Amino acid sequence: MIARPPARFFLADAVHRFRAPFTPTLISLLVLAGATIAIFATTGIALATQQATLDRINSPQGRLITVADTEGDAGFSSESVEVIAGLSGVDWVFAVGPALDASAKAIPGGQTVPARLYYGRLPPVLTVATATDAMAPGMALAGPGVAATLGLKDGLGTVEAPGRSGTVVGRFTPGAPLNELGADVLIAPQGEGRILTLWVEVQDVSQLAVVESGVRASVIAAHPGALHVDTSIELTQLSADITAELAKSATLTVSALLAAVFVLVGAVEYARVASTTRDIGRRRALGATRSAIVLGVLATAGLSALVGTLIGVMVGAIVTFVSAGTAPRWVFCVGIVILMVIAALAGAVAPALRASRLDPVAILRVP
Amino acid sequence: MRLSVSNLGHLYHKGSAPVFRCLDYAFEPGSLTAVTGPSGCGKSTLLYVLALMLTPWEGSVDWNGVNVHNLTDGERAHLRAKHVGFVFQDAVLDLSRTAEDNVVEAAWLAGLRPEVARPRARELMERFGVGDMSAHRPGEVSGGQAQRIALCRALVKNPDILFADEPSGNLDVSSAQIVWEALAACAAQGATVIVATHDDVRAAGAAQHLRLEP
Repeated sequence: MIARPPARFFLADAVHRFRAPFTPTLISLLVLAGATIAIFATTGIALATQQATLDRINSPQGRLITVADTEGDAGFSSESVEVIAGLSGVDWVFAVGPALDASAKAIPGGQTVPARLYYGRLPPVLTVATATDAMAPGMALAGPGVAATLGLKDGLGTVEAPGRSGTVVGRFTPGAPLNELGADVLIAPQGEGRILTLWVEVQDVSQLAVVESGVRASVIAAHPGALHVDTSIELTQLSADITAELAKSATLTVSALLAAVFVLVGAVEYARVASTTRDIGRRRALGATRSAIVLGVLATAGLSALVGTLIGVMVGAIVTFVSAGTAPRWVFCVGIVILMVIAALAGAVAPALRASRLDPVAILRVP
Repeated sequence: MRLSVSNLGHLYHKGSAPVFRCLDYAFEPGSLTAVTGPSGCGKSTLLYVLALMLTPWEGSVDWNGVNVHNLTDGERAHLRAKHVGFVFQDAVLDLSRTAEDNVVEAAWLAGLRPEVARPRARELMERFGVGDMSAHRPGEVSGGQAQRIALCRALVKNPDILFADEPSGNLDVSSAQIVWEALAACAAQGATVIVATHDDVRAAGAAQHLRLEP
């Protein structure tokens, strides 16, 4: 039966070689940690900053398309809402008509607030508090503090505007990007009407351009050319361009550092092999196969690389956090560890093969 | 294990003078063979060839009738690990490991589990008077103690063949006595023991005696 050293022999041996001789290990640790920190200090910070930018762009504000009849003469129809809501990639659509001065019916000559008819389902960015299950035509919601301004008892009651009236059945709190509606009363309409502003929230920022085209083609208006469509699409495009440039730069930086690790670890392992030829020769004489010698050198190099890279990741993550204000993603960290260890192992292959070809007799023989 | 060589010859470089040639001999199991001869006659080289560390220039080496030099390098390494114990002239210990770890290393390479190897290593070290040195590194022991540790390393896997290359050349009388008694005991237990030596007195007491001439 063929004798094979148990796997833990190689592990124990790698740990031993990690500690003695320690000089090549120390150099290897410094090379790996330094290269890893360099990657974090360049690519890591760039990626973290880019990710933060993308997160901002992919915010509700960044995914918003606003269609506005700024002059009020475009004949912008509320029928557009239903059509646009059917477009692929649309999260929600919401529109409001022109503001009318409304006051509480029970307080003639009382304080007035803007009241608008709204179209489309109430979007999730409006936090609604009402006892009503669904908003029926003529029901209304008041913005924060609006009911008190109107003098509505318990925040409920009827409001009247020229040609319109509505029953306030609850209140809403707007979030971005509908904060501008906070001082209004929103009234569910009876039938279609004219709208001034329409908001479309896209599901993902990457769909912004496609949905914008769909929205432009779907709006129903007497004079569509008078409508002003506003998106953050240019910002998105700019971000995509920056991302592409960063990716190119990151690839170059990481490749250069991996190549440096390959060469430097190779040199360090050559030195380690040269300083331990007698041990390698002794082990060959005792019955270690060439593959066992290769495995031993690679295990030692791999252990040094792993420890060095982990040190580099820890320091690099702190550097990134301090510099960019955000920690690098774990996928990036794990990816760097894997790449570094692979580069180090690749660098150690040539010294390992050289070690395996050493002649034990030439090494051990006493003249 | 019976070792035999047939028409064996070796030279280190093409064109150089052969170290030895046309050697025919059989090393019987259970006997201690002393290989003697003047310096440069090829005693150590013969041991390296027999122990599968060198490939002979000509001729064959048979282990129980099998020409072992026809095997692959990996197969020869496995045979060395499993069946061969080798005591080098200057111990050849790993200076960065303890004495016990030096002994255990050979057992691990032979495929022995640590829970088997360590007690056996300690037992041998006690037997050869270096039990107290188990935690010491080779730089902290004397030459005689280092050679006894090397002997333990050679014996830890119960080898079928034991080679010793001038094992007592650098030792005091009492250490040399311990080493030779161990070699003889190993042969008495059935191993094939082959010792290269300049000590004609010891050689004369060996069961077999091979004298090499330059």
